[in-house]
Formats: sequence, C-alpha cells, structure tokens
Amino acid sequence: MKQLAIAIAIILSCAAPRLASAQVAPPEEPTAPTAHVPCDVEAKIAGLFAGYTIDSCEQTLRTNEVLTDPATHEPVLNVTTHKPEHDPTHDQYNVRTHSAAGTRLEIQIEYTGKVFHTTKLLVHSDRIESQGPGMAILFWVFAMAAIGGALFVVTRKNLIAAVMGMVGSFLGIAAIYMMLYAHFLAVVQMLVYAGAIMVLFVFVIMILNRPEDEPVAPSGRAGQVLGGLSILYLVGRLAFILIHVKAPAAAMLAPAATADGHDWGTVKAVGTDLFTGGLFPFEAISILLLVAVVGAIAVARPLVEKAEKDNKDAHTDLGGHA
Amino acid sequence: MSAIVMDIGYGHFLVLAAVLFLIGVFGCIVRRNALIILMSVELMLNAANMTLLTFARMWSDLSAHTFSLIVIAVAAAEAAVGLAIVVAVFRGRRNVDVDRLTALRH
Amino acid sequence: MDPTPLTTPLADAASSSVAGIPLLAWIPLLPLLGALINLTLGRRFSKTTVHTIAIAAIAGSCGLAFYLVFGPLWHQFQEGKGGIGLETPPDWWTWFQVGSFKVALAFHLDTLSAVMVLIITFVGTLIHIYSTGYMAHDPRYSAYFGYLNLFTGAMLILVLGSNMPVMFIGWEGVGLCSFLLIGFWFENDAYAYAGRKAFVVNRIGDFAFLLGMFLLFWATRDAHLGDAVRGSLDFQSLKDPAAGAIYTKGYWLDGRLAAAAGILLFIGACGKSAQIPLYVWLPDAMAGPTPVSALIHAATMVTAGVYMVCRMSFLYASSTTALAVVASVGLLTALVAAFIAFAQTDLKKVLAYSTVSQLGFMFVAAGTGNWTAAIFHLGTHAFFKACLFLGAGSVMHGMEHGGSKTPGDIMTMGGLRKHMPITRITFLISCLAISGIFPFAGFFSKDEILAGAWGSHAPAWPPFFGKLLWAGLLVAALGTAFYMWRLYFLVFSGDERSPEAEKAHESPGSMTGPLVVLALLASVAGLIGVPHLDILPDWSFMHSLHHWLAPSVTQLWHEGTEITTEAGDGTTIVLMAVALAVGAVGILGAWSLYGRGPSPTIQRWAAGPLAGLRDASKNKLWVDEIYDSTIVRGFKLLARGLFEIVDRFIIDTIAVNGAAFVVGVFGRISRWIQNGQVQRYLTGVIVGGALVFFVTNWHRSATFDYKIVGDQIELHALPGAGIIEKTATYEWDLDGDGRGDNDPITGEKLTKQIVTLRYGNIPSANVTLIITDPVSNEVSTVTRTIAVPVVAPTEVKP
Repeated sequence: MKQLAIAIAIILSCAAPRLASAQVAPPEEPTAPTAHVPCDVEAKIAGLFAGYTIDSCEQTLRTNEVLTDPATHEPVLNVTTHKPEHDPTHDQYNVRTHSAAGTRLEIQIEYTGKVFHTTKLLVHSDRIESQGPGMAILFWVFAMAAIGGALFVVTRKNLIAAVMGMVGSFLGIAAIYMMLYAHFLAVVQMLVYAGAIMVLFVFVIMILNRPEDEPVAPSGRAGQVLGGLSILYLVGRLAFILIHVKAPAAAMLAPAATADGHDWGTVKAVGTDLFTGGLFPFEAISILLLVAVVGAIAVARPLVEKAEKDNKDAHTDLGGHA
Repeated sequence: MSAIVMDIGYGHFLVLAAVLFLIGVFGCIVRRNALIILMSVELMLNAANMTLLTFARMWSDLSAHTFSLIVIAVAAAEAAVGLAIVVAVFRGRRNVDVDRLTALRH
Repeated sequence: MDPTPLTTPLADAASSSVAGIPLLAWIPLLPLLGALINLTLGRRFSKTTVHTIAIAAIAGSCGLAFYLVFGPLWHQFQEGKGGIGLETPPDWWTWFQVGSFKVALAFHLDTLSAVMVLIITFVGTLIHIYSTGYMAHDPRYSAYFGYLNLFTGAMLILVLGSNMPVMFIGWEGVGLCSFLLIGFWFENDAYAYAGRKAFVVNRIGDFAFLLGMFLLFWATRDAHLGDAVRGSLDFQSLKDPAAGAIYTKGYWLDGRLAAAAGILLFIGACGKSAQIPLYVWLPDAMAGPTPVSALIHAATMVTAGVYMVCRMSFLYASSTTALAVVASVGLLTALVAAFIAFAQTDLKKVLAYSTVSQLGFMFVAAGTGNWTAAIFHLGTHAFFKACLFLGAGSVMHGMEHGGSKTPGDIMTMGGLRKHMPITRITFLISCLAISGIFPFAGFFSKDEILAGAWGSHAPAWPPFFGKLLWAGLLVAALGTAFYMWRLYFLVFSGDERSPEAEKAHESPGSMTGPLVVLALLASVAGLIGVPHLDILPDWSFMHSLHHWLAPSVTQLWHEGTEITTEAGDGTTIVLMAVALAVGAVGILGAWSLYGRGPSPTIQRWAAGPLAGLRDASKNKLWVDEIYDSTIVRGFKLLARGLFEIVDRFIIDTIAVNGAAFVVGVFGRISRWIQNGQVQRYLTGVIVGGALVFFVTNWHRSATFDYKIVGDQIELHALPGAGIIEKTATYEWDLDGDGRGDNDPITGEKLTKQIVTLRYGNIPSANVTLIITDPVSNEVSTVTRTIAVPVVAPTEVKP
C-alpha cells in the first residue's frame, strides 16, 4: 500500500510541470505591430489585473489616456504615448484591452476607427501561473505528500517505515521544487536525498537491525507538551503571516531567461551561476565533502578489528620465531 | 476560503516550508532514536531549501539555487558523518538512544 | 645674631636633608631601615651581620640625635626658641588631606622631645649591645633585632611626631612591637597569652586615646590656617589659645572640654603606661626577653603616657579636673603596685611592679603640673630601671648557666655577690637610686616629685590635696625602698639557697658593659635636676633640666597664674630630709628582715598576723581574677550571645544558608532546563520563538494619542507591539466614512504617523486610525472621540 502511494507520488511529481504548463498556453511571441509606433508601457494595473505587471512589450506607446478594464470600466492601465514624429495628426487614440488566456493582456490601439496596433502583453502575477484548479490540486497533493511523509517520519516506531515516509516526503518536496521552476534542484533532490542519503539511512538501519523500544523520549513530558504547543502555535501564526506574502511588482509570471539567455532554473542556468558567482563555495564544498568522507570513515571504522589484527601479528611473529 | 485553496501563491509554499520545518523540530524534540533525529534534521534542511527556492522564484534571483545546492551538499556531508557517529555509538553501546548518551554531559 | 633661626649655620645644618629626607626624619628612619633589612633578609645573614646592622642603625640614630640636640637645638634654645625647636619642612610630606584638613608626616624636635629622643636612642643602643650577649643562642636572632629596631623607630616617631596622628602611628607601632616581643617565645602558650593580653589591654587604652583625639579635632580649629579650617591636631597649633576658640566660651570651653579630652587621652596613657585600671598587662609582659623588659617595659614605651601628658601640658593646664584624675590615679597606682611588689618572688615581677609604681610617681608629678619632675624622673628611672632589668637579666643568665630551671625565682638565689661582682655593684647603685638615697639620681627626681606635690596649688583644688598626694607618695617611697632592698638582699646577700646559685657566674662583657654605663648614669644623672636652693652656688648645670624644658611645656594655669612648685630653702631641705629618711627606713627594714635571707621573724609574721596582707600581695590583689570574672566573662558572654544570635542565626542561617537556599531553588528550576539534553534545549528554543511571535502579536493594543496646541490638533499613532513602526502604513479617517482621508488643507493623503491638523477642519468628533501591518497585512482600526468642541468644518475636501 505504501509502495503504491510512493509510486503515485513519483508519477505525479514528474508530471507536475507538464500538467502545469498544459493549463497555460505556451508563451506566444508578440505579434508584429501593424504600425511602427514606439511603445513603452508604464503600467499601473488595478482591478482585475491587480498584481499583474507588463512582461514584455516591443513598442512604446505613449498616451495620456487611462486604460480601463472593459468589463468594469475601471481604470486599469495608464499608458502614456508620445506622438509619432512622422504623423503629427495622431492625436486620437482609442485603447482597448482585453484579457486573453487569463494571463495575457491584449492592448489594441485604434485610431480613427481602425485598429492599427495590437500589442500583447505578458502579465506576471503573484499567483503561481495557473488560475485554474489543476495547479492548485497539484500543489495540495504534493504538499500533503510532503507533510504526510514528514509526519510519518516523526511518528513511526518502525525505522524502515520512517525512512519510507521520508522518501515520500522528499519526492513531494521535489515536485514542489518543480512548481517553483527549480527543475535542476528538483532532480538533485530526488537523486541525492531520495536516492543516496535515504539509501544510506536504510543501510545504517539494516546494520543496527534493532527496533526501537520506546520511540518517544520518556523524560521531560512537560517540556514536550510545552514544545508541542509552541510548535502548534508557531504553525498557526507563521501560516497566518506567510500566506499573505505578496510578490513584488517586478516578479513575472514565468521566469524570464537569465542574462545569459538560458532558461530559468535549468541545469545550464544554475551551472552558470554556480561556476561563476559561486565558485568559491563550490570548491569549499568539495573540501567539506572530503573531510566528511574521511571523518565518517575514521569514526565508523571498527576498532576491534585493529586489535584483532595486532593480536594476529603478534601470533605471526611468535610463529616466525618458532 | 476558496481563494486560499485555489489561488496558489508564494505564501502557500512558505507555509508549507514552515510546517515541514516545525515537523522536523517536533521530531527532534520528542524522538529518542538518533536516526530519526537525523532524518528530522534533514527535513528541516529541506524546509529551509524550499524557502530559499520560493524566494528565488519570487525575486527571480538564481543565486538561491546555487545556495540550495550547497545546502544539499552540506546536508549530505552531515548525514554521512552523523550516520558514522551513530554506527560508532551503536557499536559501543548497543543502542542509539540520545537519552542514554550522557558520557559527555556536565 | 640673625633673628631668623633658619639662616643660622646650625639651623641650616638641621634643615638640610640627606637623600631628600630631612636630617630630623633620619632619626626614626634609621632604626626602621635596620628593621626592614633584618626582618626581610635577616635570616640569610650571620648573627654578627644582624646585630651589626641593628646596632649601627640605632647608634647612628643616637649620634644624629646627639648632634641635633646639642648642635642646632642648643642654639635655638639659647635664642629662646627651645619650644619651637627644629621641624621638618612644612610641606615635606603630606600624609593625607581631606578638604582643607591636612595632616603632614612632620617631625618636631623641641626640648621636651629632645630629652626623650636622647634617652630612647642612648638606652636603646646600650640594650642592643646587651642583647647581643643575652640573645646569643636564640634561633630567631634576626627577628629579635628587627623587632627591637622597629620598636625604636616607632618610639622615635611617637616622641618626634609634630601632630597627634603621627604620634598615634608611633603609639600603635610601639604597641605592636611590644606584643611581638612579649610573645617572642610564642611556643610557650603563657607567653603568647601575655602578648595577647598586653595588646588587648593596650587597645582599650588606644580606643580612649582615639576618642580624645577625635574630640580635639571636633572641638578645635587650626590656629594657623584660620577660622575656616576646623579641626586641628598639630601640637603647635593646639597650643595656641585660638585653637580652642571655636566656642564662644573661650579656650577649651572653660576647661570642660579640656577635662573630657584630657581624661580620654589619659585613659590611653593608662593603657600604654600601665596605670590603674589597665596596668595588668605589664607584669605579664615580663614573659618577653629581659632586654625587652628593660627597654620597652621599663625605660621607654611605658613612659610614652607620661610624655604624652607633658606634651599636652597646655591641655591639662586648662583643666585641673583632668589633672586631679591624673594625680589620683598615679598615686593609687604607685601605692597598689608597691604593695603587690612586697610578696612577689619572681625577680622580674618585682621589677615590673616597681616600674608600675614608679610610673605612678611620674603621673603624680604630671598631675601636679610638675612637668619637669615627671620628665626628670622618667629619665632617671630609665637609667636605673634599665640597669636593674639588665642586672636581673644578667642574674638570670648566670642562674641559667648554673643550671636553674626557674632562673627568676629569688627564693633560690642569695649570695650572688660573690659570683657576679659587677652585676651586684651596678644593681646596688640602681637600688640606691630608686630608693632615693643621696646623691644618686633617684634622690633628686623623687624629691622633686614629692616637693612638687607638697607645694602644688592648682586652681580649684582643695588645699589639702597636694599634701595628701605628698603623704601617699611618701608611703609609696617607703614601700619602694623596702621591696627593692628585699629584692637586693634576697638575690645578692646571705648564703646561696640553691646549688644553682652556687654555680652561677658573671655575664660576658657585652652584658656588663651596658650595666656599668647605666649605673654610672644612675649615679650622676640627678645633677641636672638639683633643686633651686639659695644656699647653693648657682651653677648652670644644676637645674638645667627645668630651664631646658621650660620652653616646651606650659608654665601657666588656665587662669594665667604661674605654675610654681618651688618652695623656700627651708621647706625644700626638710622635705628632702624626710624623703631621705623614709628611704633609709625602708632599706633598714628590708635589711633587718631579709639581710641574710628571709629572717625567721618575717616568716613568722607572714604565717601569722600578716598572712592576709601577704596573700593579698602575693595574689596581686586578685585583680586579674576580678577582671576575669567581671569584664572578661561578661565580654565572653556577650560574644557568645552575639555569636549565637548574630553569627549563627542571622548570618549563617538567614543570610548564608538563605542565599544558598534561594540559589538552590533557582538552580533546581534551571537544572530542569539545563539538563545537558540537547532536545530540552531545542524545546527552549522553540518555546522562546513562540513567545517572541506571541508577544509581537499584541498589536491589538494599537491606539493613538491626540494633543491640542492652540487651534492645532496633533494626532500621534501608537501602533503597539507587533507592528514595525517604520514600515506600517497609516491612514487617518476624519469624517467617519471608514476610509483614509486627505489633509483638508494641503489635499495630500494623511499617511504619516504624526499628523497635525487644525481641529476646526475635522468634520466629525470621531477620528479613526487605520493601521496596516506590513507583514501580515492585517488592518487594525482605532476610533477615538476627540474631546474638544468641534467647530463646524470650514473647508472639507470632497
């Protein structure tokens, strides 16, 4: 049963980005302008599009008119234009907007009854990508997987069960990473944690091969109750605070490519950052890992064997003399 | 209510990280088995990582990914050494209850 | 001659300094240096080095004293400035300064201290030399000489100090050295106890001395520094009538203040000079080495009280009450000590009581205003009593070599004249001197005391008081002659009463040498105090001491009449004859009863009719026992009570254990947390974190204040805990519509934490503050009613 749950979690976590992107149409290239009007939109978005920012725009439009939401006729966008130099008669604009596919803003600029410019704006919100239920469902599923696995870890008496819960939790966490566009980290999470470290744990548990007598520390019950209550309070309080965290205005719907042109969160992007800005920590980490390996060997090396070996050597010496 | 359920924002990720972290703390507080405590520590490290990645996403700053990578490396080292100590302790005492590891106390 | 003494060559020589220290200060400094060397490094030196250093120090001091006294001071004296004498430069060394009150470490050599300095250094030198023989086999040789030098230095500070605090340094210093030297052989419990007793009894006196000093300080002002400076302890300044003029009633508050201060100081003198009731330590002090007894407990330290009274003569002359107390106590002491001395069988004990008795004589002299006689007797007594003690030491030395285990027991002696001729001769001379036999020193000094008592007519005294003193002293003198000659006969005359006495032999030259010198002085020193008799030619040496001391002691009673003790030739001669006769009677009595050892007569009497008196004398009038059962036991009871209540209960139980209990309670609490278990610590971290969040959640208490200044109203938002003030956003709703409003005048939105408005512009009496938490976006609203009449809005922004 557990294994089945874990398998489902793995499948879901792998499918998560795909599902998420399936919900949202792939970013379209902005269409070419019908008129060559320099466009620069400074946005102050209200109403339906509150929290959206203009993602990309190829032309600059300068107008003093207020962009209103077609549905409510509330002012949505302030667009300032400056008149094209070659056409001094352009002084009447009619700017219309409508949302397309939920996260795109289409702005049409009409002049003398004729749409001569359409610009499509990518709008990035503090809500993650999807407005639809798919994303939310995925999030909750993986979040529950992560939390459930974690609770499994801290409550199970059986160590193997605890480790399996841990693996499930890590997989859920990896899926969450993907939803955060941290593809590389998600993979690393699965490889290193769910793979290597957990296997290490399993090995150690096998070596010890000993079920726990009393899983919960018997001493200081009052302290544990107090600590538990504190934790519950902190959960509530932190959730209340953190749920209101808003994205800054500059955040984008889908992360833009990095300065080097790589997609955000990919191996290339992370690698470039790691081997440029983070080179020293990277090298330091290599030394740390070396020390950890040597230290682990030194700590875990059985001393008994050495003594036995010494004894054996002594015997050999005696035998040699004989 | 439905907005909180349906509109998944950065806050949701942060709350998830906080909950995971506190579960890890809970495990550290109440459990006696050194292995479970080590796992709880890993859980806390993961929660911290998740927070880092959320903020990286929020601010479009990729260096947090680098940082997370380093955290994972440190966690791996910690797990290796920690498990080695657990094994060494078990060899000497035939149990890994942190309650009974009192030789260095006082 | 130049009127200013400082420019004369001799005065220059006196005020010159060696190594930055005035010549005068070197007198006490030399022995102190010797003490420093011997006490720190002495154990590494050979005995020769040790006593060479010690003797060089004291002899150098002695030579310097002779030079300064007979050079510059003599010069000053001849110019009539003997009372001013020599002083260390006034700003040489300020010991301490409190506000305008300043105490200098200053020394003052006038004619009075000159006498003392000469006696101390000269006798001290002789006793140092004597000690090289007496202490030759002692393992703590260097310590002994160190203490002896230290004592000499302290004593010199005492007599040379030009103000009371400096005198008090010496006063305490000699007490300390006395304690150290009495208990020098502290391996013996009785000796150590004797040292402790001396110290404690002296402390009682010192306490009174301090009180007297404080009283003087409180009641006087510095005559030199003017009215503003209250408190004077400098002798020269105190001597000035202006010092006591702080009260409108005049000098020393009509004598009452002088009486109080004088009596308090005299109690101090009683402790130091072994007068009733504080004399009990001196006989026990004989536990120390004999040279110490000679130097400290006969010649010098015990005379400090007499010196102090003479030094404060201006104070005592202002109060005949205090003088009467001094004289009465002196007389009583002289009589009681003489009585106790009758039946003592220990050589040194007899001498000790004799010393107490003779000190009583001196105090009677001081008490009758006869300062010269007091100092005169002090000097002669220093010679003959030192000679007696050293002689006793010599005898005991000889007896010890003869094999005696109780070398001081005079009942085992006798016939020593054959074995110790030099000791015997010097002892004989000294006994003649102390008995007041013409022409030895004691005759003149004792006669002067007796004549002074006879002729004393202090103001406000009953006329017979002087005669009473005289009669009492005469009895004491009779007793003195008797017990001293009893001692002499028992020691030297008759046949040896023990085999040890037969084997006794004369002491080495280092011991007999000083004896001879002292005996010589005991013979001739009286000449400086020959009384004024018209029938004698007026040789200048004859009562030179009187003239010499005259500038340093007061010659006038407080009322202004002259202190005179001299009578006509006839009276003087009769008094001399009576005193001489009394001495002779005492000697004859002693000879008849003890001339050849204890006669059967005296043994019969002692067993029969005089048994009660004998027991009383032998048991020292049970004074020690009385003190023990009253004062000491009472004190012990008090101490025990204090120990049980204060120490055991209050300090131990409540304070100490209570503190430990409180700490223990906290410790038990914190041990629950600090139990070495990391999990427990982590719990603490989490609970603490929760508390932080909990506390910072108290923003419900957000409110605002308002303040009305003129027609302005100032609104001041108080966001409460939990909101970061700098980043919180504020909105002010003035018209009650639930939304933030604009400033009625400028039209800008009110977003500041503090806003100032004209209250006429507030449309509604209810003002609402809307605060948004920057972190949680929680919105809190506070509405308050402004309690001022709100004028109808003149201008409201739409």
